[in-house]
Amino acid sequence: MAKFSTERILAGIVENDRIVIQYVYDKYFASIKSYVLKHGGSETDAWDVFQDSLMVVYEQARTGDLILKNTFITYFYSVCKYRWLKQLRDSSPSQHEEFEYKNETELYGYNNYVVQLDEELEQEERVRLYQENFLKLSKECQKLFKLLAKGLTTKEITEELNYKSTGFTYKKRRLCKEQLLKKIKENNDNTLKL
Amino acid sequence: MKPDSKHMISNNFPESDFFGAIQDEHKMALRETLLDLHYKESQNNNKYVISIMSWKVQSIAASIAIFLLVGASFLFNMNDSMTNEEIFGQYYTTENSILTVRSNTAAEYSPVNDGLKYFDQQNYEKALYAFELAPENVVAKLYAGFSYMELQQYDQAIEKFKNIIDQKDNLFIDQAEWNLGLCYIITNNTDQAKEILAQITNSNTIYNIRAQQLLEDMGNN
Repeated sequence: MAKFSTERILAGIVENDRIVIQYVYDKYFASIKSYVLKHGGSETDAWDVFQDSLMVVYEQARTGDLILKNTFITYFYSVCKYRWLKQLRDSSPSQHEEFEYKNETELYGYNNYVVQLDEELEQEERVRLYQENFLKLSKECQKLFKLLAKGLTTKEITEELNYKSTGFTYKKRRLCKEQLLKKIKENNDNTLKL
Repeated sequence: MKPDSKHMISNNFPESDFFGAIQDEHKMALRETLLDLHYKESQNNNKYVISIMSWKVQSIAASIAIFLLVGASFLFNMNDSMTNEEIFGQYYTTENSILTVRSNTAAEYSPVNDGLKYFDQQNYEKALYAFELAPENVVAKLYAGFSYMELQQYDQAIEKFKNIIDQKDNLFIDQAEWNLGLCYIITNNTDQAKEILAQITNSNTIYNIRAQQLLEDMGNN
């Protein structure tokens, strides 16, 4: 397997370079999964941890906020580990105190960074929930939501999608939203069962 | 805090957050790459587990197999591959009526609602009669297709599903494509089945994984 430098990995993540992302996945996912499984999580938890952490790194690298003093993997492991401990802490308040100072400050040693990372991870969890479930929707609903997201009016969407009336578009919008909410709910129910 | 699902599924669904998430095309593309890699890896792992399990039980299986082969091969035609009928039986499930999730419209009288009620009662002939009273309704076409499948009248089911797909721009294309594939299998139109299933594997629908598994099963024949 080819080896990539930290800079190349970060650039590859930002550019969605499949070879680099495959490298990161092949090299690091198994150990992250092993860590999560050892600490009471499931495979699904591990996959969520991996995704959210990678997206945080992507976001930081994209905006130029990330200047690594260590290797990519040292940093990435820290974020993954923190993400999992945060989930444990959030799901069980009694474990909060145990993890709070011992592990959170392990990252870079100062609280502001941890607060910022908390926010970034929460944001990525939400984005994952939206994007994953959006991708499970029918193509028609995806198209409709994309047009709504672009800010088109109901009249414009009706024309764009060749619907018979604006009333019909409203109905479609409601149905698509119902589909989305159902999937989000199922997703959360399944996560809670694990 | 974990994302609050109750908040997300309430009437206060934060649409602007959602729209922001789906408009981030770079992140969406990165997520699709990740999901694809993860899916492929999961598939490989499943094959690996099966292979290891096979290896571990190999010695026990060998002795049993020899015993069975000697005795049973005189009685049965040994055939490992599944027939199209067996594949169909493995993947086909009766659809639930959408009445349960659209209770607000269920009370209104319409041939479609009537048909769905009959469908729920497994009275497929009456359901079909009702659905035919609303020939342009996509839901009626879809559930007419399911009714024909239940009655094992697959050619008529194929006609309904193809009609939905041809109509484009509707919410039921995913279900129509998947069930059309199943109908092709049971009617031994293997090439057409493979074609539509391959199409589903390239889509982002809930049938994507099932279609890949089904294609693999068909590949073993």
